[in-house]
Amino acid sequence: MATLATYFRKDDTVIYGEEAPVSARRRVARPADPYRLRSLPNEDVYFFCKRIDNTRLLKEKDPGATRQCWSAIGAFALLAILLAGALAPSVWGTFAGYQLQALKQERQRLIDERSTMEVAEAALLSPARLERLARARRLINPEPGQVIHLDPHADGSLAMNLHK
Amino acid sequence: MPVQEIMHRSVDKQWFCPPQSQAYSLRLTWLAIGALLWAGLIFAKLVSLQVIHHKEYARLARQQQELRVAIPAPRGPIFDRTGQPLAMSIPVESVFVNPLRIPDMGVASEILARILRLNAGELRNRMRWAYAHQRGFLWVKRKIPNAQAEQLRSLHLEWIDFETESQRHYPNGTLAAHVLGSVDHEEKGNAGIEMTLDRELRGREGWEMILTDVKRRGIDSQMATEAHAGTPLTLTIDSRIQFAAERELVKGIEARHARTGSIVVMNPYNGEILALANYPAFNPNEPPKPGEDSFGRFDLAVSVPFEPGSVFKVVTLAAALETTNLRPDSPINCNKGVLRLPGRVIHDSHRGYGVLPMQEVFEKSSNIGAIQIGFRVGSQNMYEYVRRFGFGSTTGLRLPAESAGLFRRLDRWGKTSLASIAMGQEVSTTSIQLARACAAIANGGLLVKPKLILKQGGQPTPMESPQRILRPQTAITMRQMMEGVVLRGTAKGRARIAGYTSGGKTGTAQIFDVKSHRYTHQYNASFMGFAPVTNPAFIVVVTLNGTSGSTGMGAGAAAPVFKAVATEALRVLDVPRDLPDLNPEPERESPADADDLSIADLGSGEPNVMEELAAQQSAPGAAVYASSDVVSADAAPAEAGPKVPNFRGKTMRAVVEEASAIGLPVLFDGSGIARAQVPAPGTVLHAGERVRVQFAR
Repeated sequence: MATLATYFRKDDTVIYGEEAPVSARRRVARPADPYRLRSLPNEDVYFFCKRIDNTRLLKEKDPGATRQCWSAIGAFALLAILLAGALAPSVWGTFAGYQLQALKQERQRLIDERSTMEVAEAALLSPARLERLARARRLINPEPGQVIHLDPHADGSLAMNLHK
Repeated sequence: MPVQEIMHRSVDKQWFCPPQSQAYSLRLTWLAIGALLWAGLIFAKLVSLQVIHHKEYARLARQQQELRVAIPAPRGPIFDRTGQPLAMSIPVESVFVNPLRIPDMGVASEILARILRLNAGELRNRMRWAYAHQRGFLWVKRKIPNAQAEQLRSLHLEWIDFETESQRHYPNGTLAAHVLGSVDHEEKGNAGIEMTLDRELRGREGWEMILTDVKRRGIDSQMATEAHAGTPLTLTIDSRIQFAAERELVKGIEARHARTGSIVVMNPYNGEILALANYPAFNPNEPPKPGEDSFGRFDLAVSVPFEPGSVFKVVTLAAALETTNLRPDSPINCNKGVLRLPGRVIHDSHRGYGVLPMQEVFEKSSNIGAIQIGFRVGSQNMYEYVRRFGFGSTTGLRLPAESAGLFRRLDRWGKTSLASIAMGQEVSTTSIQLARACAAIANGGLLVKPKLILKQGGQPTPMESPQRILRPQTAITMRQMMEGVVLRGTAKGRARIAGYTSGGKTGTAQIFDVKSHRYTHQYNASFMGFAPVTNPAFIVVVTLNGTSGSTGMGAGAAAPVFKAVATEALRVLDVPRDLPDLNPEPERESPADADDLSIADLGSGEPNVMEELAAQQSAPGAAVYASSDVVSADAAPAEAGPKVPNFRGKTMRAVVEEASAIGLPVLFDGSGIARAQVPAPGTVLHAGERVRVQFAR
């Protein structure tokens, strides 16, 4: 099999081989055509693909090798499990750390939010605001004599006691 | 050359296929050398990294992986006695920028100014100044609302950053502002309880180091410094009573055109202050504005003393009951309203009275009568009892700038000092001092220390042992006489409370003008009282400053405020009624309102106590007064004491009631029915004597 360069430079070989001695071929080379492809090293070495049919060959069973193989696999698996076991707490700790930090932040956020809401609640329940609301609804303090004190029933209830 | 030949020649060459053992050995040697060199290099690098430059790289690693986070320690909240928050700290954001990283200051200032409601031009100038001075940090606005912070965050601008700070909130606005005080921008207390208990309230911020990943998410944390939150405080203040007191104070001041005023509501048994209101008030949420008059931030009830006027007659009469044989029905000569003293003539403000029982002297607030009683008491006893009531010394209330008032030492008293003090002049007191004195009457003769902190850090604060200053009988008699003031005296129809008995004393003192060195025609109208009479739930002291005219007296101006506050407080405290729930008689407007005015004309050219207080001078020897009284108790006509009734055959309860009614001090022995008594029935009891009654079954 020849490359394209070899193919196109066949005439070079002819010129060098036929028209000049070997010593002169190197010294007196024709001015190279800059557009011509150069030959590659070992271009004249040819490779070919040989088809080999090994279907007739049978692999001899080797119980020892099989055992060794499984032993190796088992050992590696055990090693992997041990390694994973050794690293697991650390990995778990890292993930737990993420979770813990997130929960801490959430807790602080909730504490802050609760404080803010407590302030808001206190402002809503301030006596001045309640007084304003009461005035807006035309609520007044009872005059003396307007308050009726109910005597509780035997069971302690007061409801509907006035009418009995 | 054929391919097979070339391949054959290649395979046959010795150097290409040397003997296996030699080749492996050589290669392994080179490999081992290479590996060793490599390992050596790695080891050297490791030594360099982990030993030689360990500290530097560890620092760099910490810088990159660790985050120093502040653990907030909010300032301790303040609650009222019912658990309502009065002051709380909440986290808020403060926004700052790095001026060196701002791409366009004009645009940046416009954005920030629009969201934060700032002046864009001013902000731009500040940014330019910071940039010119190569400052990488500039506060834009501190403690901004959450909504504004969220708005700024949503812009995702890298040159805007936030810092969480704490802000003090007073959700009730002006409520109990003078008690609570306020804090500065660094949350340091600068007034009120916030200032007095700043150390306890202030939390100590902590720090923790957080190990972070590349996205700055926390993996692990390590506490560096533990945070200590501020101690929560629970005050004795009841916000409902406090609100009622402030509301009624404003109403009273507006109705009587007064300038300032204060109200103190106190539990007489343990000294717990239920309300302490002042006018003018201020909103502690708002920092003082530049040039703002700071007078509104003065705690008048605690820091500003005044001449009490006729309310001080309570002290005079209590001293008389303790040290003389005067009793409520003892006759007192009121000299028809004129009393001549050395260098001074004293007139009663109302029509002159002749001889009145001591109780009526008190009810009608006769100055001449009070002076006559004061003469009976004597300077030494009067001085001692005024001091016993706590005047001239601070009460120990945990509020800043408490005034001790001014009560001169006995050796600095003038010729007419006894007369003046007997009717509430030449002595200056604060409202809180008056409240303490009134509490001693209401609780049976014990001087309690006013208390403002109910719990500190969840633990109840201990109560200091009260000090007995009056006999229980004296206190009971005084309570009955003070009830008489409300029922028949100067406060008639103005301080009666529907459904409850009440007692009190009105007072009106002219205000001394230090500049003109004269008393003005403006008054300190005051009323101190309690309800119910039999078992007082609280005492109330009302003081209105700067009233004028006949309606500006203690009865007309302060007593109605007392009535309103007491009515509300009785309802809030759910005090059982001791009278039918009927409307008390309506208010009246009569000349008798002026009955309690202490005519303040000195007439002797002596310096006034308020003048002295203002000058802050108390150097001994500076006084021009004589050391002894011109008129002493000895000069007064001898007064017969009460006759001892016959207690035999009566129960202990009946004996107590009968003895209290006439102000007899009684010592009880045994239990059951009275079998014997000393002295015998009908004996006139002299000052200091007591009746011993033996009981048996």
